[in-house]
Amino acid sequence: MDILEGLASGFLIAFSPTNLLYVTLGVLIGTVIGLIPGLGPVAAIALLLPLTFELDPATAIMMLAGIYYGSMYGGRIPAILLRLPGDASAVVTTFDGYPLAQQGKAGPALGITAIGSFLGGTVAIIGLSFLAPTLAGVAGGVGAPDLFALALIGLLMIAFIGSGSKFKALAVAGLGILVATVGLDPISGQERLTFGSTGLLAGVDIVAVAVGMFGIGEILYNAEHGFYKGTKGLKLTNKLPSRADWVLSRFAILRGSVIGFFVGILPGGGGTISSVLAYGVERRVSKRPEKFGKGAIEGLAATETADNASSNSAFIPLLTLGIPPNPVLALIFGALLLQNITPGPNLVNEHPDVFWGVIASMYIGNILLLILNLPLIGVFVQMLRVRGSLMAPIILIVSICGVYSVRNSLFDVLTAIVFGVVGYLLRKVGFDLGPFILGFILGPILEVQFRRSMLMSDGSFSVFLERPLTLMVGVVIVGAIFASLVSYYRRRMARFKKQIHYDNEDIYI
Amino acid sequence: MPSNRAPRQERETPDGDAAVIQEHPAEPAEGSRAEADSAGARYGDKIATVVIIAVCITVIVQSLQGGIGTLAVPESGFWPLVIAVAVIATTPLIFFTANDSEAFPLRKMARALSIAVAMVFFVVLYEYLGFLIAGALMMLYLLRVVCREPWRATLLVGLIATVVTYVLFGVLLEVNLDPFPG
Repeated sequence: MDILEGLASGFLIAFSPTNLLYVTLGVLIGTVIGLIPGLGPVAAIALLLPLTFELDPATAIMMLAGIYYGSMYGGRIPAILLRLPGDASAVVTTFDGYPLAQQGKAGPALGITAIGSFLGGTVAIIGLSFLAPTLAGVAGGVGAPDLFALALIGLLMIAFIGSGSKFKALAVAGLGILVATVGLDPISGQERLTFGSTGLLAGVDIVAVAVGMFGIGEILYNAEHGFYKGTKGLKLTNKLPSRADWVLSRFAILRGSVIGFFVGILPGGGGTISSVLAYGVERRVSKRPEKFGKGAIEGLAATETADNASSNSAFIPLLTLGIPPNPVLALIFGALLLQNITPGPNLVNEHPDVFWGVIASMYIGNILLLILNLPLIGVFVQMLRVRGSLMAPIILIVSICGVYSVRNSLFDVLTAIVFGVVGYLLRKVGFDLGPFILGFILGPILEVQFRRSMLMSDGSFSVFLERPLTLMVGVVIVGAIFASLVSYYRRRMARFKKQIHYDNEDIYI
Repeated sequence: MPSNRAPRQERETPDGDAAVIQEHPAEPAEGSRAEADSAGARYGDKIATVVIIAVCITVIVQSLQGGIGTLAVPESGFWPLVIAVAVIATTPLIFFTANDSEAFPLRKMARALSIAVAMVFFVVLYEYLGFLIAGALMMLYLLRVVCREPWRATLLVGLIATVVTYVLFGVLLEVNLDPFPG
């Protein structure tokens, strides 16, 4: 099946009334969840994951993809209007979005981001349509050592590219892998780390972990710090960007699309890095850099465009290599596993309906979001009137039912509560939770591929050095570690020099 | 490069006061509570590191008991052992370098953790009272006691949300939820 044929078959699947309904529901629900201040795309996917179990695999993933980019669209609204970002990437949106809103230009700001998100998303989906099948074909011959190396790089890059403490990210990813080992050994079937509990024999359910950490944990965190109080009197007058806004933003949107597309493909890339990078590039090429941070519409357009482009291109490593490049895609990966589908190089041949259906649905979802977000923006804005203290209990009862629905198990509900508390406490002590869920998802792949590699090579590590892909991945990992150490050393030296300078001043003054 | 932390945000505290908070805020407190809070912020990373080490040691002991096999034929305990050792290897670096823990305001944390306790009570009560009564009780407690909503909103949202959730999951998605006792 060539690319155009595949796309045509994908559109046939995506245009079926059921799939169209679920894609529409996905983008709509995603937008509404994204609107709730404090809840980002990870929480949105985690909370709504259980609703997709009853669905056909292609429909389920289409809906989840819709929720993903819907929540990214929705998340920009509180970021621009209230300076309340739902996730790290939306923080960059606030830099120019909020000043624009304060200048009475909230409508054009929301309008240009909707258009930019649509264009960035479309560029990325076109790239995805043509690059993904080719990459899947190339990756078709990968073996156990290669898959192990790819999963390892996916996990390590999260730690090395992320902006928080790298050691904390590594530790928390390791904890995620350990939690995934609870239950039965995937190769020998032997019981391990169950501590005699029959409830743990089947392992820890991914929905319980995801809903607990990202849903319940988030509510607990907000309960401590104060819920969003709701905002009255938000009214948008002029909803569309002017011609001048468009002229200022058009090349920013183009650059943002390209940056977002390429950053999204990288393991550990995605939203935050693409937003920061696109913003930085735009500021550098701008003829009015002094406006940045004070309401430069081109800065805002570039940021949101890159964010959406990266969220779409992030599907490339997931669909072709079976490597989720960020926590949201890790959850979608988990959803595919629960539907008995293993994402990877064989997905395009074994489940073409899922592969092409999801890609085609992304075109449709992106258009739906533009249609929803331009005329209905006033309605979405009114939803910001709802207080967080009213939403939190509703989210909790839905979380409980969602977790329970997977295996009709109250034990899973208790597990989710425990992970909620763990997630809350880890966040308080400065641990990023993204690497945990990636470790949890990638852990079993790492283990199985590592053990297969060891069996193949009779326990010799040379198996990882004999294959070009594995060797290349190894070099990238070593390079990333080296670059990270150099950067740490330079920062330390700079701090040290500064200290000496100040100390000398103290001496001589 | 800008930080990925949220900027200062205005939200309402559960008490109804407007508070300016940060993603990693320094909580306002007085006297001994302030000291306890800042001690939490100072030692949060260290305590977390010790807990992680304890968890990993438990995993190592369990893995050794389960059998680790050899490199050529690894057994079930091999992989958890490798990961636990790798995690322990990162902990000294966290212990000595990290200092981004938040303060631990016990009163506010108790409010947050009471939500988790209410959910555990829901699980216990569900067995005896069924989803509708246990769910409504949990919702009323959360809305009135934790979120400090007025009685009208508490009753309206609490009861409607419970019924709608039951209809969504129990009826439409056919999840095996017992609506009533027995």
